[in-house]
Amino acid sequence: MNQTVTLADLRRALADQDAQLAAAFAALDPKVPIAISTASLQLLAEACSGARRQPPQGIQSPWGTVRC
Amino acid sequence: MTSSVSGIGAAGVVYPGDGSLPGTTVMSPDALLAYCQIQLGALDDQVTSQMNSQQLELAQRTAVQNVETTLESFGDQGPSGGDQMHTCVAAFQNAIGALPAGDPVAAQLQAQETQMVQQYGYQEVDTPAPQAALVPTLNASLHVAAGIGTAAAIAAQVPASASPLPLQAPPPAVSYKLAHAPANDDWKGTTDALGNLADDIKSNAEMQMLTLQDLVSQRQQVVELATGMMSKEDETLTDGAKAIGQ
Repeated sequence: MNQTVTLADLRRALADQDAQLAAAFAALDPKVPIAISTASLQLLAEACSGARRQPPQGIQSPWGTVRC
Repeated sequence: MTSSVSGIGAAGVVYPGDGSLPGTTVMSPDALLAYCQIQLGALDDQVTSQMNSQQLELAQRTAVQNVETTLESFGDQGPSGGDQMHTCVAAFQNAIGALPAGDPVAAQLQAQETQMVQQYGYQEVDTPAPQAALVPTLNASLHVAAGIGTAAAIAAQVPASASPLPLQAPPPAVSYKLAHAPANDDWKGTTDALGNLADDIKSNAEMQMLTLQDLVSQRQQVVELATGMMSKEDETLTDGAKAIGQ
């Protein structure tokens, strides 16, 4: 059964993501440098830049293009 | 090989001088946090933009549906008189007023209202109140009376009363005329046009909602990638530290 996703659901998801990220950082010792796989860092950058490259969405309607 | 990653200042990255841990970048937790925030920033901008669009489209749908409800309240035949048509015109104006200036849906509503007004020959007619014609005469009489009162006060050596304020004409009565009441399927055409507008907004909003869900899902993957690599590399470092200590 498909459930309708609301903006409130998405806001909750974003808050959960932020909490997840904050918890991960909180678990690190701020004085100890960590070694991160360069490939992972690049993958993360690409995942974000992939979103940046997405063309803007919008459909033509009788009154013009509704911006997104 | 150890390398730097674009998007972060050199000061935050520590390069091991001994060439250990090939294929890794050693950085402070603060630098890693800054890196993640920079990368997520662009994604967050898009999420915010899409959410704002969703909010706007919700307002647009509400505005259009309010007009639609009002128009449909007059059934298939539509308004039969000027007063009823005025209710429809007011519904359009309220909806347009509820949307931001320059909004494309507000412009479309304005165009539909104009077409409706022209098609059915709706007019607002100002009729002056019957008392309005008497006001100039009454004001002139008051002026004369005030003059007499002042002269009498001077003769009696008492302070004269202040001049009375002139009378204001009552506002004209507004009446609403409808030259051509909707006939046949005229009104259905009017309401269908609004229904099409509402449908267009809805389908557009649904498409944008899918885009928004994709963005949030993509962000989730980025967050999991970030938290995953932190915990994994943290363990690696811990293991390395243990090995050094042995």
